[in-house]
Amino acid sequence: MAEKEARSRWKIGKESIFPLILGLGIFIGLEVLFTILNLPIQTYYYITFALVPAIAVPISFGAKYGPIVGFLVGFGGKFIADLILYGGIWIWWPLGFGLMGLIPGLSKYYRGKYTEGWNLFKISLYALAAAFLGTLVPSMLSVFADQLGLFFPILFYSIPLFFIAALNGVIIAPIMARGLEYLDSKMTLTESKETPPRETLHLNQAGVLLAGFCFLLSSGLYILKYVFNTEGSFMGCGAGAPFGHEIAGDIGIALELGIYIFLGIGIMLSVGLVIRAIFPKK
Amino acid sequence: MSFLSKNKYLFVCGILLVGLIFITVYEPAGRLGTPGFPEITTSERTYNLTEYPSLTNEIIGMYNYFRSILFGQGINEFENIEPYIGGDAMLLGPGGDSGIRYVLAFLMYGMSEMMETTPGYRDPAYYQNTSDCVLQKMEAPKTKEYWNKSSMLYGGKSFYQFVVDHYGVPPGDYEGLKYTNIMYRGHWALMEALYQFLFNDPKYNTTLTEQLSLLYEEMTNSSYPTYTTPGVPCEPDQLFVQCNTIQSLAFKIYDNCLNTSPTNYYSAAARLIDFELANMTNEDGLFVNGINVTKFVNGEPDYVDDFDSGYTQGWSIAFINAYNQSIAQQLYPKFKSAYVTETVYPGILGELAYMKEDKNIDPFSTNIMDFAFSLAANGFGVACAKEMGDYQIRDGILNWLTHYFTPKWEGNKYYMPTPIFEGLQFVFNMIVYWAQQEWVNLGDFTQRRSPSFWTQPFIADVSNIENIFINQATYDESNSAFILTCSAATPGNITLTNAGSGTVFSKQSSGWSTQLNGSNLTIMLNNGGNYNFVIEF
Repeated sequence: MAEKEARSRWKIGKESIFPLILGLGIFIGLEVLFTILNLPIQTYYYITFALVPAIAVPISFGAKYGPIVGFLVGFGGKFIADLILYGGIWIWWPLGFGLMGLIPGLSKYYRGKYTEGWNLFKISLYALAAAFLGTLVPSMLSVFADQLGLFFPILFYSIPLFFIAALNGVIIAPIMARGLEYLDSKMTLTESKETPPRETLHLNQAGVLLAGFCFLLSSGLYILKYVFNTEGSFMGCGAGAPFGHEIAGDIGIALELGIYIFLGIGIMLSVGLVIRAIFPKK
Repeated sequence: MSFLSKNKYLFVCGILLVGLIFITVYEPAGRLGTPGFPEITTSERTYNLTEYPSLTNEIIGMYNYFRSILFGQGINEFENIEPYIGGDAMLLGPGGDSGIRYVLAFLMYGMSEMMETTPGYRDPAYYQNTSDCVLQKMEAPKTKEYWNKSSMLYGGKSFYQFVVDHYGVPPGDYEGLKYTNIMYRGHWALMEALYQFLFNDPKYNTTLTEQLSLLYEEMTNSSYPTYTTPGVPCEPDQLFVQCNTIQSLAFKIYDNCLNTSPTNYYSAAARLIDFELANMTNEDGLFVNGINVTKFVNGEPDYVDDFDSGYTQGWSIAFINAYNQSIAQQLYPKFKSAYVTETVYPGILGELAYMKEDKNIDPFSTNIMDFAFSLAANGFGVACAKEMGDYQIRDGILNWLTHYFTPKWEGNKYYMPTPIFEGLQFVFNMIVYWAQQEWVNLGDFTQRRSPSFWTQPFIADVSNIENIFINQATYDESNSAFILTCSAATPGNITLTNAGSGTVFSKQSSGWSTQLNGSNLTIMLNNGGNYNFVIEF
């Protein structure tokens, strides 16, 4: 049975320094990298989609290391990232990201908590609340700061950022939290007493790994293809037609084919794994 | 292994993450990318194509979007052109009309700038017919009917009846082409002037000359029935600076470029702007939205209706810049300082600029109409910034204005669907289209063309105007060379006339060939793709 000793989440000490530095580093790195990559922001009706994985960092660190670490990772990370990217400070937005880290930290924690699926799902719920408050509060504060009325910050910052924060937080934060648990269990600085799994999963481990690898590779190739997407070049080959992208010659064709192949394998494996999980062999 | 096997939910998140990546990075099927503009070295010299005016494929695609709507219906039909909301025409005010004239006029201005970017592309099927179509729509009954129909703010009277009763003018001017109504007449005249400037076609010359003469009279002759001030009112006793900038520019274009004997219509515009600066400005030295001209004729010359308006400034300065740059340059910094806010929304929008319709607006306003009016102000503001060459403000406004609307290619058309404001899609794209053109501004139409312009080599025919995009088409007079860049989705021919002695150089070594036929030079594009040519004479 898991040892569920709730510790005070509002205390920080020496043991918080490493997670804080790690969180800040990951946040700033991801924020700067993805801003430079300048991946498109897609809006379908009112819902804004964008890949901003940095948003998940304060959420997952807050959930794992407490509200103070979560807040500092979000606040400090956004503060420094803005300084690097835009050469200025816009205090409301670091505050919002800080809130995103603080809110998941309000939940109780025990070592190994985020090895359990149900608890990872709860991170997603916290991420939703964090996204809501973490975008609403700075938007409302910016009404006073920018004096552009109520509707502009709500329509053009609060709502799009909410969807982006919610999607990235709900999806990526559990993965990060699980990664942090894994890291924690492997760290020599702290004793690893990971809780045993509470339920038996009927997933083929090798299959899951392989499918995940295929998805990741496919996604990586997709991003790579976007980076290679050179304006002014034209790929006069039918291979590019399904996506209609303009990419640079042979590299583009190879990347495009790779995306499809690995995506296809990943989907097939996933379908097989889900079927096997639902109808396990006796 | 145990890392993954413990969590089904983790696996689900992984799949969702992949989905998020694909949704985010996915772009709808597109056409060819805009060609590059490289250096081409001939036996004589090296041409750097980046130095010549050019159009992106997106601008051409947006133009195709407008064409498809314009030509997809009759002249007196305005489906998807007339702004609408909930299936009904969107009215400018209670009892008002939907302002089709403005949509057509501002479309024409943006289109004219695009056409002037490739002045050597003169296949009438592509540019001239479209401009002609817009002008015909401007003259269509539905566009002009508001004058004898609207009852906006005039006690149930139409504009027409009000003018007859108020000024005692003879009845019969049911379309408002002789008295007041500058909100139509100015645009109509300027559109006709641009048409003649661009295509050297006198089709509208008679009505243009007649209209400018009437306007000049109304602005300068104190015995003209509707003379009140050096300006022409529109609603029909309100005088607006912005509406009067339009015929002022038409005057300048006509005087400088189109007349066959010297005229000085512009003197009326010069007199007007002095009047406006003296009588129609507020404490900032910027224009007020409009004044009721009866204040002047009824003995209250100092009265100014202090109606604060960002859109008035944006529109006015954009056009004044075309005919009186020094005044525009004095006004623009004041305008920016009073109306434009620059800020940063880090992470989502980045740097942005926002224009307020009312500079004294409650900074914490919760009134949706304040926001709606400011949206309109930003539409004019972005055009103004573009005309003034202030690309930082232009991009700052476009940054958020286009945020919700992911552009897409549909065949040869490129546009931004606006599902939230479906009835404003045409207008919205029109604004973005105009604002994105960097090579030409309205002031360029006040420069008379060189006498040899119409006899220089030019593109007279493109075999497939829908699928061969002409990105560059300029005759470099100093080097006697024609610069041509195109983006061909399909094979086809481009025929230049006055080009019999041309020698063709290209960045692409294959995929094309040439054929001489008298004074015509045909470049045959055997494969689709992007091509750059220099044709030396």
